[in-house]
Amino acid sequence: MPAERSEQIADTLNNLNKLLGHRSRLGICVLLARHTALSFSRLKELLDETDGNLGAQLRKLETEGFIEVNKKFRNRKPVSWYRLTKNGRLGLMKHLDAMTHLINLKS
Amino acid sequence: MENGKIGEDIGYIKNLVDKSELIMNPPSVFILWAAIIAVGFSFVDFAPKYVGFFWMIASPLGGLLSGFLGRKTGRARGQLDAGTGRKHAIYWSGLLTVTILAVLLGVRGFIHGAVTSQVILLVVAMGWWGAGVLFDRYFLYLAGIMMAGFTATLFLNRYVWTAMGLLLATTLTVIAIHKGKKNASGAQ
Repeated sequence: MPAERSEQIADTLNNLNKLLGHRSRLGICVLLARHTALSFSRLKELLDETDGNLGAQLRKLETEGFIEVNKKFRNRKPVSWYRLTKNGRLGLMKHLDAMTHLINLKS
Repeated sequence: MENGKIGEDIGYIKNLVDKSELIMNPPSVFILWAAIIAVGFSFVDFAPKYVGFFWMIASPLGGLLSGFLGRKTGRARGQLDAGTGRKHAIYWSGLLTVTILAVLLGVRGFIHGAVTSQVILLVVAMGWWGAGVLFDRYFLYLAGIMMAGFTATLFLNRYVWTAMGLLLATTLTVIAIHKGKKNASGAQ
């Protein structure tokens, strides 16, 4: 039924996380879900982002409690290591489930 | 949100994950095992008495060093994978245990001399074939060489183990060089 289907699509759209609607932020979270921890420079290399843009996206994710940062030194140089938090993992799973559901509904 | 946009997002994150997998199994690990295998296999032809002793030390030490090199490479590249490390540790320690159990067949006198080495070679070939399926397809080539080498040991007597060791070491070195180039291009 078209009305029921529209309602389902609207429900699913509500489950999409706005924070992860941005492609770079989604990429960061997926990479951190796959790997235990990634450094700032490795994220920059993988995402092909500028320092400023990547820093801004990471700060947004950190503020929302999706990721956590741990600063360490390697060969006397500071290295920022990022990890996905439990909250971030749940948020990402919910977002990816909603994306899959949306594809199934629309196809 | 349009299906097209979702499809593009999924394609984007898939590419990202594929790109991030490129630095698994650092080339240094392949070079390490090239050296161990070249020496260890030639012992069967030139110093059969010390084969068991060599592998008893080299196998666990090589495994620990491989883990250390993997972790070191990961840290240097800014990528830590505890899950992958655990999976490797479980797999390779399992293979080492089965190999030790196969050695016990020789120790208890159920099999003798060269047969012990042949049985162990088959166990290791099977293990590396599994690693080729699970971790890195390059192990399939190496397991194939071991299987061909095993067949050669059934028909030839002189220096077949040394030749097999050198062939495996050369293949491992070629893989290490290829991986080094691939990692370097993946970093750009």
